[in-house]
Amino acid sequence: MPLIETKDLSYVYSEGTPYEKRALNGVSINIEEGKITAVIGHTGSGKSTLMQQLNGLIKPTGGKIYFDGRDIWENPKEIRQLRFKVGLVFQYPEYQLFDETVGGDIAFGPKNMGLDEKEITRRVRFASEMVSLDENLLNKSPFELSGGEKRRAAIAGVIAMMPRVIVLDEPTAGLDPRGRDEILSRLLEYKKMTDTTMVIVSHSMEDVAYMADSVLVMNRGSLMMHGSVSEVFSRADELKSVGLNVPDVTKIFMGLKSAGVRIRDDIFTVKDGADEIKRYIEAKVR
Amino acid sequence: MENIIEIKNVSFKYSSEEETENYVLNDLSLNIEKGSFTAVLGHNGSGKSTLAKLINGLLKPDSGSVEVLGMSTLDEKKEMEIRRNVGLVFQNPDNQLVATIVEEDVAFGPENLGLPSDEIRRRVDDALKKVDMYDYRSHAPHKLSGGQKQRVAIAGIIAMEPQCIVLDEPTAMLDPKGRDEVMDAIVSLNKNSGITIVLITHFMDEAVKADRVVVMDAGNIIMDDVPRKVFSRVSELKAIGLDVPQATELAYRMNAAGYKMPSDILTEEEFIKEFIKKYA
Repeated sequence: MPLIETKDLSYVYSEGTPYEKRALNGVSINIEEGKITAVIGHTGSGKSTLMQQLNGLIKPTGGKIYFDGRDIWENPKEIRQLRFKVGLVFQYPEYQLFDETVGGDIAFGPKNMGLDEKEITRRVRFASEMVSLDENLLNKSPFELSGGEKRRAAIAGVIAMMPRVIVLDEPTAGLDPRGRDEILSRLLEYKKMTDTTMVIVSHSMEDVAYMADSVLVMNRGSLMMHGSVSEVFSRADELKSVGLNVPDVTKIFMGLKSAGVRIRDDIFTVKDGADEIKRYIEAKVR
Repeated sequence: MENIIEIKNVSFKYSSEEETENYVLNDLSLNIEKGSFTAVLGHNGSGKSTLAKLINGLLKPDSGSVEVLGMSTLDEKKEMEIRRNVGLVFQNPDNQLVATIVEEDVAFGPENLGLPSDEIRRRVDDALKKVDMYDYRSHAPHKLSGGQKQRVAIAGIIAMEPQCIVLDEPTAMLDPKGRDEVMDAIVSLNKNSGITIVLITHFMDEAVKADRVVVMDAGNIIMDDVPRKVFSRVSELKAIGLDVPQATELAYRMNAAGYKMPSDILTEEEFIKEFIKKYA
């Protein structure tokens, strides 16, 4: 059974006014437990609106969302509890750090959950370790942190609630290559340790290839594709037609194959590419 | 070739760090030739954005000098002329658009220059055409896509008719199509209109499009060469937290595994061509 399921989900902004805008149109998706699901789509395709539905931040104007088999809007009073189970990391979350200290910021979620002081301390430590945030930064003001550190502190704030699902909206936007690798590898490590379900919105096809088990493609408020990384990236032309693409390394192997080289073209990371080239050349020599 | 920007022995630190010796830029020198396209790479905190603000005089050097078209940024009387000649484009297009209609937004700068209205009209139309946004001139900026917004922001700068544009990670917030649109506009402004471009970026595939790549680390320049030469130094770039294009990395890995490939491959097309020549 999927952990989160949406059925025919729709959302219209400012319904009934001249500014009415349909952001989601009959979207039915499954988010499998313990998997990393990537969501791609051009700006305005409805990705962020969909993400905000998953933890009940906005209420659908049509359709249903199920968490663990239960309609999340059946009893609106329980929505607050859902937000502890589905943690949302917004775009550029570092702009939302507000406490005097980094530690205070990370503790905010667990405090709201009503946990005791000892458990809060334990979780703050665990979450900051998880994102490799040095312990002596916890007493500093968020303003004293670098961009990458702030981003990790914001993610730690959600990890500290130990939600069953973490939803991240473009977690690496604006970071340099090292900052990006750090965040992605820490998230994978956390996933490995805790088996937390993750949903990651990204504009980087390379990040998607590196992280995801399955990929959802959104276009103009509708679901366009849903499949494994190789199923989705094998449809390069369709992706291009909606302003997306495949990883650069994939373009190389697709180009080689269409030029008649007998090589696999379902290659999505540089590492797999290097392995496939080795296999190809060795087979040729033999 | 004539230099449009001359940066000589510049050091800079933010005043809040007065007590420390924490220089963001440390005795940095750099000349930018007129009509050139330079990409600046470096990890976050390497001093790239500070450099951009020093170039158009938003920040002043603590020591050393920055000259634009022979005018020092320390000369207050030249401040307006320097800003008019060096336009700055930032990461977030939403923070750069002020008006409710695209063409009004683009007209904002020329209006402030006190130009006659037919000249403003000419400049606005010309700028919008150059970034391929003329058809959207009467649209509302907030309804545009990210790539379109960023191109309007660039048009607003072009309408000032600057000789140089410095762009600080202009595509960081855009989707793949938006990134392509903005990069096409930047390349065309350089090649077709002769505008000098300084592009600060984290995307290696964008830096490949420049004539020259400058790599910064810890407030100074550690590499300065054509893209092909800079990106062939894969291990050095990785050591300072940067990356290379995926085609370059794949060729690098092949060489490391003993399969010969040229180490200066930059694009997918080059990789495919070389691979077929050697191994197909």
